[in-house]
Amino acid sequence: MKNTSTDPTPVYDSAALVSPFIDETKGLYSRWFILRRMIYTNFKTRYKRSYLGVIWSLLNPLLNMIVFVVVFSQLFRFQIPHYPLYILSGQMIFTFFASSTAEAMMQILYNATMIRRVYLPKTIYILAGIAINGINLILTFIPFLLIALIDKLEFSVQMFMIIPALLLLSCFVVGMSLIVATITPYLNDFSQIWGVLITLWTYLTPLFYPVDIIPEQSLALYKSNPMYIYVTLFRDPLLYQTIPELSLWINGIIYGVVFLLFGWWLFTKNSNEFAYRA
Amino acid sequence: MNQNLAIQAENLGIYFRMPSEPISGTKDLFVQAVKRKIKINQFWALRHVSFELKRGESIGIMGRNGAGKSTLLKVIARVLTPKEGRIIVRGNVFPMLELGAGFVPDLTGHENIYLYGNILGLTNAEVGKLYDEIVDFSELGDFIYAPLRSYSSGMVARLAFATATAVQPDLLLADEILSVGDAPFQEKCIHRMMHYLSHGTTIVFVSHSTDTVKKICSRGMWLEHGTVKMSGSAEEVADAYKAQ
Ligand SMILES: Nc1ncnc2c1ncn2[C@@H]1O[C@H](COP(=O)(O)OP(=O)(O)OP(=O)(O)O)[C@@H](O)[C@H]1O
Ligand SMILES: [Mg+2]
Repeated sequence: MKNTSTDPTPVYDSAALVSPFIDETKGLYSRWFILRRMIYTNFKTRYKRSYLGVIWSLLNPLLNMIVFVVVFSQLFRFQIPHYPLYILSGQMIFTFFASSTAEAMMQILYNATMIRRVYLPKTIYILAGIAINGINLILTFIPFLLIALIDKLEFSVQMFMIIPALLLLSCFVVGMSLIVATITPYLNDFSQIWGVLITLWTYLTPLFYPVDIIPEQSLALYKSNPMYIYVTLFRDPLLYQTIPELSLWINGIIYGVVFLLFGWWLFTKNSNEFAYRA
Repeated sequence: MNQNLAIQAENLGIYFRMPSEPISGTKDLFVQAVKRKIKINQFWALRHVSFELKRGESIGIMGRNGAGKSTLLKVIARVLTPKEGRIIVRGNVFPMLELGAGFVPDLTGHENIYLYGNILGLTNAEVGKLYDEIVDFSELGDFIYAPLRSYSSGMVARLAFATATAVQPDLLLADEILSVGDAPFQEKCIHRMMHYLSHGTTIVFVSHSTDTVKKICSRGMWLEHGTVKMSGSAEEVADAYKAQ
């Protein structure tokens, strides 16, 4: 039934598709160059002849930050060192999460014509969408650096810890995106619900206020929010030359791995159905 | 298991959910959860379809609109996984399903060649080597740098055919690809398909033109309402289909 080593011709046997989790992983591995192509395609169609589009995606977090700085430093007068960078770095992490999941939900819909007509491992569509947002995240380091120079941010070796932080975040984001992408074809208005959840989530994450304002008794619960964890793992080494405690890293690893595995399992289990529903 | 068979279809069944009762939103889901009865009407686009195709053979699929021809090709191309039965396909499948499948309208012809080539399993380097040949065959000239949106349907078909047949495939799936091409281009396509056929390619060919089927295919299959109404030599089936 399976491909024997003496016979190099690929064999597709619908009855041999017993483990979608593994089949998808193998399929993706052997077709990684399509992922690169789809990233390029997404990029081209998104910024269709509008080079301003790229500039806007850089300007957007900057403008957002200015609004927050103006509003919150007048209203609440939080005592946060490097407040503009505090906001900007939190936004970078949260925007990556929020836009990746929002985009993942729409990927099956946007690529419906493709999905209904050619076979590709479906994770390609989701990963390509996330990759675009990842590129965006990397590009926002440009305005970040600019503000960092103006704000006289101290550069340190601790800063390198943002690399593992971003890797763990990416695992979580991929997992979460796969989960919401699986739900949407079955439940069309899930994207509306998700939009509300994301707004709520924004307020539950220390993006523009300090963690001290959270009452002592709810602090443990507050800190179990994965986005709190990833924002802190990213922001503390970047702005304050501190490496977060080990327990936070462990929680970050657990969230990342569990969501990635669960999302991959859920998505691949259902992805054969997308061509019927897209 | 017979290694000589390119396609083995055993009792294939594909159904779509009827558009009358989709769970399209949370409201529907809620209502149906309350009713505790999620009724799904199944529409079988294909059912009890069995056939085998040896390597190097060519089969012409005929049938009225909605008979299930395109659906069958999608099952072979792995786009739709069977709900019932089993399909085994051996070899590299180069599908040409519907007009412009695998193309993105906003990309140029040039970019679409690479996209479609990648989808067919070719790396960028491989597509690069074939590129000039593809553009030549498609006769698109400078339009190759224009977005696909600006192409006529015949031009899209040319590009699709040129790309999908740039290297000899093990198995070629062609769904009404010739219907929009002009006569000289049709000739060219048929010529190329006959050439590959004589060199071992297996072809599944869907067409409403019984003459073309007779010309290209050795075997024929007539689908009606998702089931096989008749199968035999291309000649027999095409004549019977025409005479209905
Ligand atoms: N995505 C879908 N959702 C619901 N029904 C579908 C879908 N795709 C196909 N069908 C139904 O399946 C049946 C077979 O469709 P198919 O496209 O295979 O026909 P066909 O033989 O290729 O017809 P044509 O000659 O017009 O191309 C049709 O009745 C069609 O309505
Ligand atoms: Mg059709």
